[in-house]
Amino acid sequence: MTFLNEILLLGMAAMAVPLILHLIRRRRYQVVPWGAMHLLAAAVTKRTRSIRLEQLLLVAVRMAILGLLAAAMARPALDSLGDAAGALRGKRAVGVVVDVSYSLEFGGAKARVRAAVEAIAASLGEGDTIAIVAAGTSSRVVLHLTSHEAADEGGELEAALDGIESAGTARLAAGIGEAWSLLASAEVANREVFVISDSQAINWLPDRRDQMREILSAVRRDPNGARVAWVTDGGVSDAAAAIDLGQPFLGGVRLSEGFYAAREAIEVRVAVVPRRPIDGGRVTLLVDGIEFGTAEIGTLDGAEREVIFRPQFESTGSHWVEARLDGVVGRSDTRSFAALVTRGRMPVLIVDGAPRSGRLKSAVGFVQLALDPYSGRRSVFDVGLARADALTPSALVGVSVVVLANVRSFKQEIVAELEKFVKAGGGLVVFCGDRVDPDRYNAAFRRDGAGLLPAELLVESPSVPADETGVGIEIAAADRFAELGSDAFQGVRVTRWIPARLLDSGNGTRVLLELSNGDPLLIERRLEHGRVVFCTTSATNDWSNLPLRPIFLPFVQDLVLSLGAGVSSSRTLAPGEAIELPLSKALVDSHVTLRLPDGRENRGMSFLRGTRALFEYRNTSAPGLYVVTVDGKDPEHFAVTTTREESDLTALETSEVRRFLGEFGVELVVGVDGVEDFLRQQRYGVEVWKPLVAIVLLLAFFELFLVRWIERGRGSTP
Amino acid sequence: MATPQPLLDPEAMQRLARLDLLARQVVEGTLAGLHRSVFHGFSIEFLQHRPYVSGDDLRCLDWKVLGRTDRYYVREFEDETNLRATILLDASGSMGYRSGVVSKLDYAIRLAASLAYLLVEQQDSAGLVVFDERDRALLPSRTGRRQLKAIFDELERTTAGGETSLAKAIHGLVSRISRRGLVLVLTDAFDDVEALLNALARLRSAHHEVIVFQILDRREVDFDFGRWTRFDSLESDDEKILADPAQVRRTYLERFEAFQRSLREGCHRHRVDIVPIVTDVRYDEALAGFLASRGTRE
Repeated sequence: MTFLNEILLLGMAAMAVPLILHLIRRRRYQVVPWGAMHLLAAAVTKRTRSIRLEQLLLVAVRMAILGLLAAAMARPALDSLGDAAGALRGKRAVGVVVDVSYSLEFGGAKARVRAAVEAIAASLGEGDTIAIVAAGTSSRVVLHLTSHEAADEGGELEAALDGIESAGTARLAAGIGEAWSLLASAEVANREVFVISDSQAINWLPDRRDQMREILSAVRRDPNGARVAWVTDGGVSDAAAAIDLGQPFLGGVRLSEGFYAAREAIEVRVAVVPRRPIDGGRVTLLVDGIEFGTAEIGTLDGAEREVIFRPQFESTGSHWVEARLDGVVGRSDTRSFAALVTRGRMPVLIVDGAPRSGRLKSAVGFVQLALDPYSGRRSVFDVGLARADALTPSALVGVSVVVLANVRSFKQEIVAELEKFVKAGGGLVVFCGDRVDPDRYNAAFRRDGAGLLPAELLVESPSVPADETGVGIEIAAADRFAELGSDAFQGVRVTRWIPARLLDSGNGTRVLLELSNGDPLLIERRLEHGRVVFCTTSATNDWSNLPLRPIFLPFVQDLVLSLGAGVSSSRTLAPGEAIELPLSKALVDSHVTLRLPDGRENRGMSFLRGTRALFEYRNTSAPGLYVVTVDGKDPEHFAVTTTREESDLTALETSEVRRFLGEFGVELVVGVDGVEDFLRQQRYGVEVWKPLVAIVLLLAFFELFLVRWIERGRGSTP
Repeated sequence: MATPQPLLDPEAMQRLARLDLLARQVVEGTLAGLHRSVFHGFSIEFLQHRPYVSGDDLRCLDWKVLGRTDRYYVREFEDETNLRATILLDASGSMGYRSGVVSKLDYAIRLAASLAYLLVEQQDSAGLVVFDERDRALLPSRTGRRQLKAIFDELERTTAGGETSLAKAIHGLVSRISRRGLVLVLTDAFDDVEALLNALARLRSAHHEVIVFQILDRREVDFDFGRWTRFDSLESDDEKILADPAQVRRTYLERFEAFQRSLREGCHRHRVDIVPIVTDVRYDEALAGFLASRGTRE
């Protein structure tokens, strides 16, 4: 046992007071001449023994009261058993995982978190080390493992705490894993992880619980694992008071997928999610800062409602939209942003390997018709044609997508250009046909896996017997064709195709469509910044009825649009997702100005990555509009939106959190005061002054009772 | 009868040095409101019936005879107006205890004086015996103011001392009083209860009416001492007890209650009236209470 206020143990000398008083009282008696001696003598004789016992007991109780009171004031602490005792004997490496989800911004949570981290840092001793991980949508190490003295004196700790800002949704399991891996490098006996998080219920959804289960079990199993303590600041309810959960919020702005063309209507869908039935309110859409339109919401009984706007951007380039929910006050998630890049018409080059006159006679004809179906009406695509035998490298300049339709072969020079084109971000679609020679393709385009071909074409070209009607098509990559629908290719029959074998499945190569017999039909491969899509059947109706089916048009357009949009036309990001702005090589080492959502400006430089320049910014924790300006040129816009679930500040019951964590031996600490008590208990053991005071009170009551009991029977009348 | 004077409490009465004045004040004050004839027929033997004549006291009329015979007869008693009373005053050491201004002996003396005054004023005879372990004074029962003065003089000389021997004193008295009468015993009764009761029984068997005025101090009744105390016996220099009163209070009170109970029961058994009086009670209240109960019984 240790005493935190040892000097107060001197108060135990007061124990002698009752004994001294007793002795003094015995000596300082009064003398009374008495008549009824026979009665008194009988009484004294009868109770001699019990009188002595009562006196002793009374003195003993009074001494005990004073002694225990002095002991309680000296704050005794019992050393904890087990790990804590061992923890005191060696240096500590402490990892602090801070929940930096969006709720950090509300109800004073940030100040409480800071206080908790400072309390933890203050508990460290000489030679102890500390690291801090901010667990948001992604984990970020804000302070690498360093001695706490250095961190404190050098201001690193202060800077790390200042740098903690909300960053989307908390992925606490990942944060714990990050902290654990940092601590693994420390050569200490005692590793501790403190997780500081509010009890927001969305952090405890089933999938996240599974993740936490996994990481906490792993830490527990590891012989070099860390002791984990979970600190809940209990502040979510305060934040809930600052935000009216009954108010609706914007569920986000979604843009229609794909290629955004200038002077073409783009569908902007705004979701309004009420927390309780509401009546009234309106959504206003601003386009590039100018009000575009307003839609009344009307009455919402709790169900989500979607409002659709169709703005048109006159110019190509970077644009942004903002949706505002009016009629509610005080919630920042009633504004939502999206950013995009609009382009002119997409230049597409169709290379014809078997020119024929007439539109529906050749593969080119079918593809061209699919891309430009309406005569007299401007298409998104600017379609150019080239004969395969007359193709030159210059024909590829300024093209977004190249479609090879039944091309037999190319000169090596063209193949190299096509490779460069794709790697630089271009899209390539290859349709087979009767002129395609598998051996030539394998030799020219595959190059043992380094070339453009995503698969090895097999020589055998099976065809379906005359009495069969062909094989059907099944969607292998459902995400890719979600817009078209799962039954999009119903009724399509393929009678001829070139079998293929994937070269390196999973490494940027995947099957998008397959035949019902399992042979791949449409194979995609990512090659640096661009992609290749290889179709094992032809674009004519002699190998399948696909070109004659209604699905052919959207299928081809979707294919070309997705290839021609580049890495991304959408510039709407989740919190924590990095802003990456590719630039031409000429703009390497250019000055870049970044305006943040709160109006502050950051300055940076572009740098070379691979074959192009790039500007990158990672600290996108704050939602809103980010504007990047490179060397004074036209601004580029990026929008960071909060996740819908972060608006739900419902707290999980502390008892439930404690129960879950208890399965893994994780202790739950509530509040900053709880942190200090926990750290003190760790350091010194369990303080027992409270039970001592309780005993003192009990003894005091017992003393009163004893005195009354001894003095009972006062007074009587004759 | 003189105009009744306001009565004072015992402490105030203590300042009144002259017993005669005190006794007069007590008695006249007590009897104010009480019928003077409360002592009429007090402990006297029935002699005979005689026919009623005009002027006879109607209280002597025998109503039962009237009811039976329709004739008026009065009852005659032997020595009807001449009561022989003897006051037995315990002057032992224990009577000297006082917790306030008035000791038990002081109180008993004033009470005795008041009783003597009452008796003599009633034309009854009064005597006095003062005792501790032996008789210290003996005044045979007589009437008249000279007797009263003699009693007062003796009372004024009386001081507390010696051991209690109440039974012995009573036994001695029985042999001295030839004619039956009233014996008023003023004592704290702190003696062997059985011996005392035997002595009282002997008095009763000699046809005396006996009234015991048990004089007690409040502290003897309550035992409310607050600090360690050495109790020194008033009757023996060797007997001393050092105790924490709080620790012995309960047992003392039990003993006291048992003592009182056995005394009470014994007196009741022998048809002896016992009147416990605490010295903080006013004389008039003590006397009036007793006289009223006597009047009721009559």
